[in-house]
Amino acid sequence: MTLPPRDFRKIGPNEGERFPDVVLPDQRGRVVDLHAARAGRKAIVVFYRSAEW
Amino acid sequence: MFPALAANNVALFAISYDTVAILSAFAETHGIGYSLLSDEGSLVMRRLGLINQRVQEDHAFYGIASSPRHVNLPYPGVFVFDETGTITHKRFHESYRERDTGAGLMAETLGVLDGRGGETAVEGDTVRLRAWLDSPTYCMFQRLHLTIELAIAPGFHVYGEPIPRDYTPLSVDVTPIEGLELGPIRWPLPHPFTVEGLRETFHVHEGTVRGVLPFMFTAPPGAGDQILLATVRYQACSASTCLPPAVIQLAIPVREVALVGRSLPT
Repeated sequence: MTLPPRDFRKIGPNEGERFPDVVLPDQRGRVVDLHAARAGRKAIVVFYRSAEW
Repeated sequence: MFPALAANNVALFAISYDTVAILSAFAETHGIGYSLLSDEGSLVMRRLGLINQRVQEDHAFYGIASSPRHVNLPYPGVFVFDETGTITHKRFHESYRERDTGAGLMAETLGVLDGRGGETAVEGDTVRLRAWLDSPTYCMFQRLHLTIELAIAPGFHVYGEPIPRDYTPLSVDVTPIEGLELGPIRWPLPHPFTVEGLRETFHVHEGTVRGVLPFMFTAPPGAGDQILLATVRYQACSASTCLPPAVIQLAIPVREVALVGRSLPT
């Protein structure tokens, strides 16, 4: 038995698009504007399930 | 990996639905200095279209017990973007268990090679062989890559496939280890080659050729450090001379990184 395959091209923003604006608090509670915080650098953004479980 | 990020001017952010308090404790336990962003309520992940609508179904498939925490989860994955913020790579995996190493991801998406491990070099008669891993360490289910590079002496070639009988194609075999899963090695396509007076068509590599072998360890944490034993076989010939088949043995160490305080969901 296998799960039906997903087409990840249809999930989330795609290559060639600008990564959307994201403003969220970090682990110190400071509000981070992702594009401002990268200060013109390339960036890697990882989405993961949880740091707790 | 993190000096490599700084040296290459790459910012790193990790986003989950955990509260700031959970992220704070996690960062402290693991000594994490990069930004862990708290998307409590998964609003950003929802806006970006990353919420996995099939979590219950997936968890049933993977044998994971249901929990009130298992809602509004994103697909696990990675975006890489350039200086202008344009997405250059998007990598998502079907299973939460499988993930790229940081070094491997940087090598593949950003061309950053600082994170190499297990570097080995062997001088053969007509071939200089180098091998390395894209990360010196592994965690269970991380996707790693063993790269084998042959610099072939000018005027010589080594054989790829298809190949006539009685010749030895370039190949890499890794001795099995419990829990080691190997993908097929990827070589560049060899080009057709004929020798005057011989009917057969050969397919050959010349110059520098790199093969990339994906692998991962699926044994539970605590399996310990490993040594990949790889056997590289090839046969080098020139237009006038054919050398006997050659074998190079490699022993490439890779250290286990324990998942401190983590376990797979049961």
